[in-house]
Amino acid sequence: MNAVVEVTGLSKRFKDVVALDDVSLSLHENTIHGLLGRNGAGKTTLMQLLTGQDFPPHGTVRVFGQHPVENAAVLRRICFIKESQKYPENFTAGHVLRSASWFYEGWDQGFADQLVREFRLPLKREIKKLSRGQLSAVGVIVGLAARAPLTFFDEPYLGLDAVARQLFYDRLLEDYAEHPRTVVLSTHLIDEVANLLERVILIDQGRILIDDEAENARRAATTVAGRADAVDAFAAGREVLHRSGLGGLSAVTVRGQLSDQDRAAADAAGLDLSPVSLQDLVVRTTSGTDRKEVA
Amino acid sequence: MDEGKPIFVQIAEQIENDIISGALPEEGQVPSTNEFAAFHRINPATAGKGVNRLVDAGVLYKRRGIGMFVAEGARARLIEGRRERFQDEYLGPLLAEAAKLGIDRQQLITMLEKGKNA
Amino acid sequence: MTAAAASLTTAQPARRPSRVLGVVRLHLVDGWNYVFVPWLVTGAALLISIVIAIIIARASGGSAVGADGFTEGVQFSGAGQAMFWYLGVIAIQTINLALPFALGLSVTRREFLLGTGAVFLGISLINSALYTVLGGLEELTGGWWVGTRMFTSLMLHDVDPLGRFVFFTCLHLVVFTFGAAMASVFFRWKAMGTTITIIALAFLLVGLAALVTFTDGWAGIGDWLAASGTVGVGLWTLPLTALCSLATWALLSRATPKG
Repeated sequence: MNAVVEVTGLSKRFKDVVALDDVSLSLHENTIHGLLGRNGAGKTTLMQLLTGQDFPPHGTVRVFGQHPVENAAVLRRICFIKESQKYPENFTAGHVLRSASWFYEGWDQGFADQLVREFRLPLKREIKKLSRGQLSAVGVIVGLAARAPLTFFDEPYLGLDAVARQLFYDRLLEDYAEHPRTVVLSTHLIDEVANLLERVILIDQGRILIDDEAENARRAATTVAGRADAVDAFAAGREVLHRSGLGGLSAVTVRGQLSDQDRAAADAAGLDLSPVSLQDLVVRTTSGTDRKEVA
Repeated sequence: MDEGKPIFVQIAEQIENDIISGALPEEGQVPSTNEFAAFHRINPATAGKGVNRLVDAGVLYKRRGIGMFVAEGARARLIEGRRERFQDEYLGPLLAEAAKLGIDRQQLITMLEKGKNA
Repeated sequence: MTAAAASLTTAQPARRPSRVLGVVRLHLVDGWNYVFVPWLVTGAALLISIVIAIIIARASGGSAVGADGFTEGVQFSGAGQAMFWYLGVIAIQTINLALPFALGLSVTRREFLLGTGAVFLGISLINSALYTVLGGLEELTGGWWVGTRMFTSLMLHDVDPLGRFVFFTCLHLVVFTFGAAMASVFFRWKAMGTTITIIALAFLLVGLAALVTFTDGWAGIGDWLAASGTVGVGLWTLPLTALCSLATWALLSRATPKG
C-alpha cells in the first residue's frame, strides 16, 4: 500500500476548543475514503491542514511525501471542494469552470461539458444567483473533471436533490474506475455512500475512532434483540454501544464481531441478531458521552 | 444489498446465481469488474474482490487482454456445492421453525406434497 | 498503474502551464472588474464634468470657453479621482474573494500574490498611459471644448506627459496596494483586527500632525511639496506602496481562509 498522505500526532486548537487531538492516520493511494463524523468533529479542520490551507502547529503532515503548505508541487495535485467556497464578484458558473481548467493538469473539458449538461448547470448565470443545489453542482463538476490525484469532497451534496446526488455518486464511481485516484468524501449521508467506500475514517471531537477498511467497519457491531433478560445476559461483558427497550423487550448494539459460538448461543436464547448499518454504527459510536476508542 | 454478508460475497453469490440459472453460460464472457461496480453502485475494488473470490474458486477465469469468462463445468460444480449446503442453509432452519410451531413430520410431508402440486 | 501512481515520484510532466499566469487570467477572465467598469466610471465622470461645465456656463451667461481656455469658475474637476476610488475597492475585493477562490483551486499564496501584483502593475501602466494620452487630448481641445479639466487638472496643469504618466502610475499603485493591505488585515484578523488597525493608523496620523504642528513644520512641508512638484510627490508614495505590499505579503503568508 502506498500512502499518499501521512499524518502523525496532529493537534490543532482554536482558542479554547480542541479541533484535532493527536490525530494520526494515512490515506491509501487510489482508494475512496469516507471521512465521517458529526458537525464540529474536526473533519473540515483536518482537510484544511492536509490541503495546505491551514498551518499545523503540532505534529507532521506529509502529502505525496512533502509538507503541503505553500508547496506548489504538492498542491497542484490536490483538489479540495468545500461547501463554503467563495467566488469572485460577478463570476458566472462558466467562469469558475474555465478558471479551474487552468490549474488542474488532468482537467477533462469533455467530461466537464457532459456533467454541466447532466446537472443542468446554467453556465451564464452568476454564482451569487445560483440555487444552493446549483452551487454544489459547480463544486462537484470541478472536483470530478479536475481528475486530481488527491481529491477531497467536503459535504459536496448540500442542496442537491436525490437524483443529482445519485448522479454524482454514479459519475464518481465510473470515472474513478477508469481513472483511479485518491478520494476523500466527507459526508453525513453515510448510508448513501456506504457502498462506494473502501476505507472509513470516523472522527469525533478531534479524535480518530475508526480507521479501517469499510468491510471491517461495517461488521464492527451487531444488534441483539429479544427478551430483556436474555439480551442483558448475552450482552454482559461486552462493550455496549447503544441500548433501547420497549416493555419486556430490549435491543442492544454490541461492538465486535460475533463468533459462530456466539451466534449459536444467541439462537439458543431466542435472540435475534441483525447487522448494523454503517450509518447506525457511526451514530451510535459518536452519540454517547462515554466514548470508547479503537486501539 | 442487505447488510448481513460482506458486499463482495453478495456480488460473488449473485454471479453464481446467474451461472446456475444459465444467464451466464459456460465459456461465456462475464461483465468487467468496472461494469459490475457501476451496475451495483459499489466500489470497483469491492467488485473486484467478489470476482477474485470466484476466480480463486475456479468458477471464473481470466483471458488476458479480453476479460473474465465462466469456467467449463462451473455450473455443475456450483450446483453440487449448493446442494451440500442446502441441508444447513434451508432444511435446518425449516425444521427448527416447524418444531417451534409444533408441526410434526407427517404434517410437514403433507405440506410438501401440497406445495409440489400447487 | 496509471498516471496517479507516477505522481508520487518527483517527476514532472514536460510541459506545465504557468500557474502565476493562471492567476492573471483569473483576475481578467471576467473583464468587468479591472477593465470595463473603471473606464465606464471614468467615461461617466468625464461626461458629467462636461455637462456641468456647460450648465454653469449657460447659467452664468458667458460662453463656454473663457479667454484663457478655461471656463469661468469651472476649471478643475475632481472627477478624475473617481476611478481611483473604484480601483481601491477592486483591490479589497480581490483579497476578500479572489484569494479564497484561488486557494480553493490549490494555488499557493506566493503564486497568487505574484499574479495579482502583475495585474496591478499592468493595469497601472496601461491606465496611466491612456490617461496621459487623454490629457494630451484635453490640452489640445482646450478642456474638451468647455474648459473642464480632468486629466490635466490642478496639480498636473504644467506637468509634461512623462511626468503625468509617472504620477498616475504611482497613484494607481498606492491605491491598489493600500486597498490590498487593508483587505489583508481584515482577511487575517477579521473585524476586530481591522478596527484596531484603523484606530492605530488614525492615532499615528494625528500624532504625526501634532508633531509637525509643534515643530512649526507646516510651512516647511508646504515648501517641500512645492519644490518636489507633483511628480515628486507621486514618487514619494512609492515607499508607501512598498510598505503596503510587504504588509500584504506578511499578513497573507499565515492567513487561513475561514469557512
